Amino acid sequence: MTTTDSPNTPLNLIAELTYRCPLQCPYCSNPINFREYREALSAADWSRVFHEAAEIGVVHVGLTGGEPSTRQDLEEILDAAVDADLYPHLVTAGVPLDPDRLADLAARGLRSVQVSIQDASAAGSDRIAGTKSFEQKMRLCAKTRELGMALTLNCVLHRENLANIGNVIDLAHRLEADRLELANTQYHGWALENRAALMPTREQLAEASAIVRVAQGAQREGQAGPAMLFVLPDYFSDRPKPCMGGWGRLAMVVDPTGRVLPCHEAGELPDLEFWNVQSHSVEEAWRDAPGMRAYRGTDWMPAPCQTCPDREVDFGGCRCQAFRLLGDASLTDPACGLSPHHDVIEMARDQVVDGFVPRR
Amino acid sequence: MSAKPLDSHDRVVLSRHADLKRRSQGDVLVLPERAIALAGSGSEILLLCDGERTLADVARALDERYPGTEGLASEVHRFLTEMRDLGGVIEAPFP
Repeated sequence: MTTTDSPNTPLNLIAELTYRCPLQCPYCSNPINFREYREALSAADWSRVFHEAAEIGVVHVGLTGGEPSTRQDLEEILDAAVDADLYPHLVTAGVPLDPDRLADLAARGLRSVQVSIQDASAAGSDRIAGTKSFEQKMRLCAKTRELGMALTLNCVLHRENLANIGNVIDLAHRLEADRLELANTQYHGWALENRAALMPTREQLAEASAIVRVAQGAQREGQAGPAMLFVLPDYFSDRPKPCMGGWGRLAMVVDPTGRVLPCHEAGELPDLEFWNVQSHSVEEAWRDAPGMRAYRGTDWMPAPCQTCPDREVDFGGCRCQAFRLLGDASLTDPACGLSPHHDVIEMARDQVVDGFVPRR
Repeated sequence: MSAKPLDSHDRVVLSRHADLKRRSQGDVLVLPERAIALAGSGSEILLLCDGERTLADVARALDERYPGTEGLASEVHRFLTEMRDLGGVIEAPFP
């Protein structure tokens, strides 16, 4: 009677305002050829997107990118989100945003902020980010708390920083973050390019899991601290991730060119037609675009998904991963142990190369 | 955040970071990083959580609205514990 239920309408809008970013993280999920995309939506366009999205049930907007604070009109875009009665959440690398501008955004109605760090220390974080940014991130975290907004700290994990997970947890405690995302790298975009440099070892993951368990245990005994999210990477867990909670089901992405997509990467899949908010309403582009309909629901599923009891739990995993690794987006995600092509995942676990290529 | 289940003497209140939104498509609890669609009397329960009512009071108030419904108290406990773990409600200090 009171249980949470799955809706038939999207709840979240992921607004990729730009692909510009001052950082060069080697696991960036933006397209490899992001420089070839034209940033097409003005603040007025975004305003129309937000209002149309709210009409079909969207309640939450993540203002993201790239780095959203590289847009000089972020204030205007935020005002539009507030006006459309969406819950505005900012996902930032912490630069070039400064604390005064953040205070202004809070006054305009921003509710929560996710700040990414690349490691637990300034030297480590700045090295992976390729840009001196850690101290500024720390100031923004403190300012977020001071302004009374919710603070999420996000750290993408991989072979070069997994050993520091305990320090990341300590840092989140010191910053009084509400939430800590310990996000194992997902191999899309630049991360797939750098997969052999980022791939953790099984031993690293086991040690990291144990450290998280201890920290969560202390919280069960009453210690205060952030809600922690740590999920084993799909390359090591034998079952695929329920990517985006299902294709075109709960969340929509609008990319910097204005296309409505089911996830960050789907626009790069060949032969799928997605519609742009400059030529279609948000509702049409979400509901009817051929690309949005292609993998919605379960009818499209191949064996072994079609008869799998988990088909509405993981939705067959990630279409983009199936395409990138197998050349066919309609196959079962090879991260699934039941996929006949699971060996491509097993082999990738053992490919180790030192030194990543920064996003550029 | 703690993981122990809530007790019938506990009092909870909507987190200041959470919004309860009524939509024609159904009510939703909106949190910093996610939104949760509510079914049935989920939003009614949340609206009763004013930080003064205990969980037992909430269950009693609901029982007055829907007399004779089976398992009301245990559902209130389960639901509010889940909401607490997600950060939607926080435990209120004793008044």
